[in-house]
Amino acid sequence: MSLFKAREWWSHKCGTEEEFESSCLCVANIDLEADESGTCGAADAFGNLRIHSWRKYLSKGKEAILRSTSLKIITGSLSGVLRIHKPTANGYKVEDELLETNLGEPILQIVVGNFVQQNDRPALAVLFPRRLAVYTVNAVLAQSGNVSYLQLSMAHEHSLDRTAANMTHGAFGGATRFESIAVQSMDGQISFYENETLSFTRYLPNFLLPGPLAYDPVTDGIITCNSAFEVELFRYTVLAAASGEKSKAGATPAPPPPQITSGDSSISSENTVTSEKRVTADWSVTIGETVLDVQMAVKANVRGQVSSEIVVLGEHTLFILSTTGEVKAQRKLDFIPNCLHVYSKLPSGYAARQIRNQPAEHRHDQMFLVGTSTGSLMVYEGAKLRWGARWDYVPVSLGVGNFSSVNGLVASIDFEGNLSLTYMGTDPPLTNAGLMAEGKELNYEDMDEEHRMLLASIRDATGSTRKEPNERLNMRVQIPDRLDSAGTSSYYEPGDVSLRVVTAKLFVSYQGAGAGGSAEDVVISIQTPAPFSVDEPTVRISSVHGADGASTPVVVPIRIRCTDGRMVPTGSTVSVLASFRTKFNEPRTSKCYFHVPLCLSMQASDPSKDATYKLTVDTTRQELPSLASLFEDVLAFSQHGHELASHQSSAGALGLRYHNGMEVTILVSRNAGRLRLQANDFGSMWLVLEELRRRLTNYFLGVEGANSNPPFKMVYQEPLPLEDLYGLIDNHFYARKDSLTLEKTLEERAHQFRSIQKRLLVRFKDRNPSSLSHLDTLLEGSLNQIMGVSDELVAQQQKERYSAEALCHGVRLTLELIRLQFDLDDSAYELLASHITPNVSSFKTESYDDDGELVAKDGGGLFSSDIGWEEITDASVTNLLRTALSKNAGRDSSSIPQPLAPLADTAKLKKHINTVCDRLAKGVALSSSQTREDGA
Amino acid sequence: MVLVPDGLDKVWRAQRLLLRQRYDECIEICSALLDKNPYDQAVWYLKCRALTMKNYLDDTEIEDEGVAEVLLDDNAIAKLPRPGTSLARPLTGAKSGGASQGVRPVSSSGRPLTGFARPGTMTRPGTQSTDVRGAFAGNRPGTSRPVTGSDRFVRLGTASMLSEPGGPFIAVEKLDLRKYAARPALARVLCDYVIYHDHNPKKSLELCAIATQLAEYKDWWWKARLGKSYYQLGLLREAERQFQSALKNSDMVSVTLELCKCYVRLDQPNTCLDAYARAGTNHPDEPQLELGKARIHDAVNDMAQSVTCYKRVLSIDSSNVEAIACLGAHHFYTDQPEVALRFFRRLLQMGVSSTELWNNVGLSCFYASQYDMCLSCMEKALALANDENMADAWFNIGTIGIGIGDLGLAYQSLKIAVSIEAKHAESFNNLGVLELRKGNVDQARANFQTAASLVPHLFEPFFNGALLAFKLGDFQESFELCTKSLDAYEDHSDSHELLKQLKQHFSTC
Repeated sequence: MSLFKAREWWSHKCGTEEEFESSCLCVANIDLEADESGTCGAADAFGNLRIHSWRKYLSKGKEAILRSTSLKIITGSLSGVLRIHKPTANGYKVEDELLETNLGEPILQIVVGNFVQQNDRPALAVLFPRRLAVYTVNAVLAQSGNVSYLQLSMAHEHSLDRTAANMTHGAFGGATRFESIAVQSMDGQISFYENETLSFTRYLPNFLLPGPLAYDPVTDGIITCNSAFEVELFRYTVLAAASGEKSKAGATPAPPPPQITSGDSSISSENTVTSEKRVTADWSVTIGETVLDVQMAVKANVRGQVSSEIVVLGEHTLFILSTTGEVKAQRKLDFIPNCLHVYSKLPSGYAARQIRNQPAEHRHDQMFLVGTSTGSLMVYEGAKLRWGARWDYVPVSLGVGNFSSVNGLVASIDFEGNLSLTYMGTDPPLTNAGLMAEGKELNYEDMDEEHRMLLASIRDATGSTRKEPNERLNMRVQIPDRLDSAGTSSYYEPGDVSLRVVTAKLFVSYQGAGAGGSAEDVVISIQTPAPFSVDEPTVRISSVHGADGASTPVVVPIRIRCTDGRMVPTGSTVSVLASFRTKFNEPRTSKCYFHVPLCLSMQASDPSKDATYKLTVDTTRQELPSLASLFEDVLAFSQHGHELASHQSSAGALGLRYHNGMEVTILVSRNAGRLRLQANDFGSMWLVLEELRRRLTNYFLGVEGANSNPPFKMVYQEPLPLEDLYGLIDNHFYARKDSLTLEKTLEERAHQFRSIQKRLLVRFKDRNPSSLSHLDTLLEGSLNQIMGVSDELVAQQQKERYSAEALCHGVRLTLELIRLQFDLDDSAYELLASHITPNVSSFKTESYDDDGELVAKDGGGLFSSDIGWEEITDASVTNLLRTALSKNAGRDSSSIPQPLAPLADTAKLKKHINTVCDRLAKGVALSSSQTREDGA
Repeated sequence: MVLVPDGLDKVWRAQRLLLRQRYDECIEICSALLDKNPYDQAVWYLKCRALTMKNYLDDTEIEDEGVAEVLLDDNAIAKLPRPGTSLARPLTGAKSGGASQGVRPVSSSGRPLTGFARPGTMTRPGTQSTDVRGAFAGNRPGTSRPVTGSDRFVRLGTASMLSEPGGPFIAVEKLDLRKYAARPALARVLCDYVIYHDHNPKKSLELCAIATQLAEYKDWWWKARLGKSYYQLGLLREAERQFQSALKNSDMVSVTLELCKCYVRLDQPNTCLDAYARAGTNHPDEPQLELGKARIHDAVNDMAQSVTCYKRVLSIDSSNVEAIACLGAHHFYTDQPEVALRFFRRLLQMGVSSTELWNNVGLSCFYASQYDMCLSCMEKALALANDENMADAWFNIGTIGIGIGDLGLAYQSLKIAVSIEAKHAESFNNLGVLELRKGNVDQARANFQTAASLVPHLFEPFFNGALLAFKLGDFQESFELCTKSLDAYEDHSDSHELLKQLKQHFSTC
């Protein structure tokens, strides 16, 4: 992290697809070109002035050297290309490149120093894996007197026995005139090359992998870092005096480790020469981490005394060691460093005077540049961070120099050869801070529009009413009032009730916004009340397309037949449910209802005079249509239909008969506008009454129109036949109880049977059989008992079923009568019917399948077997009384529903139904809108 | 790029790649070389090092504590330490010298939120009377999973196992450690490998113990690694002894940092500060030491001290993000949003760009009355946000909405915040207040309850709930909530006021 960005002054991409390593960059006036001030210097960088050159140039004035403007940047790549650049002005020009030559071998390292004895001028040492070459560089001048290009000429070269790792240079042994080179091989041999000759080679002790190498002129020692994370100093004199052979049994009293053959040096001398003088380190300090680079910071005070410090760049820490091996300072790095460069701060003007006044130990005129792997450049003075600048790339090698009268430019090269000269600007880096739409014109109208839209959609989402989507599936049913002609026998024959078939047509059409929509995967399921059935209860249509105008609806025939002629219908409404997907894959449903035509369940018969049950219904009209015209469709499919019709017109009576022979007679009092229904069975009248109401309502709607005043109504004024209903309830209730008792008995018998079986089994398996002691008789007896109880149970269940049917009819009739008596509208009626439900049998929740296992039937296992219609109706009626029919307007919504418990008797239920009727009689309105929130 | 250019030595290349942090390529070369010659120690060394560095984790920072550490921690010295002597009982109120809790929100441990999220800043380092539920709930956003096992090490360990085809490189269990310990170079890399790659502190402990012995108890590095192994095993006292011994051999900053980490786990903040101070005299230019000090002051709620430390960090290392962030947060909460804004802006200039930062800049702008800037900053915060911090950004937009009176904006923003993170208690609390303004008393109550159940260390939902209950006439509930509010923030004067009224009411009727 840094606040500032390094500003680029000059940059150039060296080669393509070339790689550069650390220590492949030098900054020096390699060809001794004279600059404006007439001085020439040889320095690989300012900080790394060798001690002799330091002494030499000190007299000339250090500032003059540092201001030398003729510095060149020398780079060498792993592809073996050596380049020399001389940046002259801001921005790269072709003329800046003075030399580019391919040396044919990878360049591991380049250093500049006085390596050639003959002429006292800087030379370039280039290290290849198997060769060390020293070149001098000469300028070829153009006519104008400027340097046009450089020439490389080899001074001397050495081929290396061992693969080289790196090198350092310096005036080893206190030489004053020229510098020597020390090359470290991959297997730890250091070879010293003095001028053109190899002076000696030494093996380093405890060696595993080559570490960075540096030469300290003050102590005349080679500093390196070994693989055990220790920084070591070897004095040159010690190295020179020691034995040259690899100390086999040397410093490591090692247990037999895996055989070492490091690198490719399998030719290490096997014939052990026991050396008296082993190479020993002057000191070693444990740094504790991998060392990336070691460099010397040499400084001299004004009196010419020279001191040096060792700068060690570890992976996580920057250490500064004294030449005696003490850690003088350390600084944890919060980044991963990449490269190090030591240079000396320019002491000029005021700063120089300040320095002179300070005690020596406080003077850090050596500065360290650290390049990080995050692309930053950190400038340290001692352990203090002085500056941080951001770079666009990750440098691998650094240098500092003055170029073209610009002081202190940092030369850097990255892995891929981007060579650049930068300076520390105070520009903040171009961060991604303003990454988004900075400076984009704000369009307030669009924003307003979007805001409005969002507000609207929030309103829609939070509002109480949800808008239905436009996409719908419209269903319409066309029911003929006649039986199909296919049902050939148009007259009643007891045997083949099922041949009476009505085919209704279901028209399915898609309606949606826009053209081309369609409903996919349409599944239409049809549910019919008990004795009726349809041939195909589920119809699948892959897709229904909608068109703009009149689309042709898909027609689905629904064939309804009566399957059980012995039953009075338990309902008359067929529900059709279609589920489908819209093109957005939203699942949706739509439904419609229609009534089963009466002719399917009844036909006309002679009216009967006597009947047990009689109901009288008043109407608001004096004149009623003739029954023959009302029930024309039924008469048409009845035996002697015409006779009956004519008879009816004279007597004003019509008999209707179910397939099971139950008869209902309708009597019409012409003048009083009164109707009478009579039948021998209480419940059987429900269908006729309902049908009558519907037909009369439709009739008067057709004759008088919708706005007739007063509207046509049927009114039932006699007391409600609740006692009859209660009788049915009791019947059903006790039938259920009996079934339960029988089931329990069956369970006990079965248990008994199993116990006997078990005992018998024990006896039979016994090795010493004892007598059966009549267990077999017992077994047989209990088997008989089981059979008996089972038969009883089957009979009882049949009874229960009948009673349930009867109850269903009774409830329907009662509901219809309540509707007529209290003039309930459709929604109120539905609400009431949902509480006092006529669906009696659907609460029979469990039954036994063939294996005797309990399986859940239509109730889905919601209720246990001792919960039936009575319990549920009681609970829902109680709820009805508490909510929709409660006396006080503020309803008690806090009542917690209690779990259903089996009723002991039906008295409470009867009382509650009575109360409902009383409340309705008192005029308490039943409205479904009130009950919506109650989730009735 | 070519793996090994022509003419180059492979080992040389591998070594350079290692230094360049190109570990995978280094491992590739080494594996090829080891296939040819499995006994080449130099190559073994390099590969070992590369694998270690690939999985290296700078563990000088405080790390998350796992469920086991939190629950089975028996390092507490005193059950009821004096305030300021334990991380479990930070200084409170006026002594801390910082902003009050009413201004500066607190973390679950009752400490003010720091400006810089480190592992461990959100939870309490050191001992804590945590119940099982709290430990298992975890408080990392976006997941309800707690930190498991021994910190991050186990999980990272399993990941590093997975990435290596053909089984582990070194089967540490089978090695004769005594043999390796005698070879210093191999032993050290092996030790690092075991610690950072295998995460097997038991084995590294064994190795370190042998090596220390062979080094005649003079090598600080082996002692430090021994200490690290002890630390990872949870043997903090032993670790402390080793670190101290290592420091006696050589005064290394990294060892000091590890020692202090040890003290933090031992819940001895003052000893820790002493250790930092001792090291600080020898290494005056080391920002990590000052930073550590500042963190400890922060943790015991000594804001004044911590701010001076942070300032000192900045004087050493002027680009220290943590110090800048913490100082920014401090100024923000001490009612100097303009100064805070400068700190946060500095972070932006330094190239930090995160939701949190934009968020802070936006809020500082808002409180410094630079309304034109704040919403665009929040926009940027949202653009950078991920699931973990988006809810916070929306919450702050809600706060701004409340501040400028745009209650519609506030309401919608808070709703979004809640929809993003269903456990965002602060948003629930503010939503409750807004619902109350709308007159939806039941909604408001439900929101306060949700907020209170989600984050019991916030006093606002409790107090709001108490006030609402008081106004509704539910004095008993009001009293209970009021007490809880004071538990969370004992100096809250409004709660005291309410409690007084309640007590008066109870005594009169």
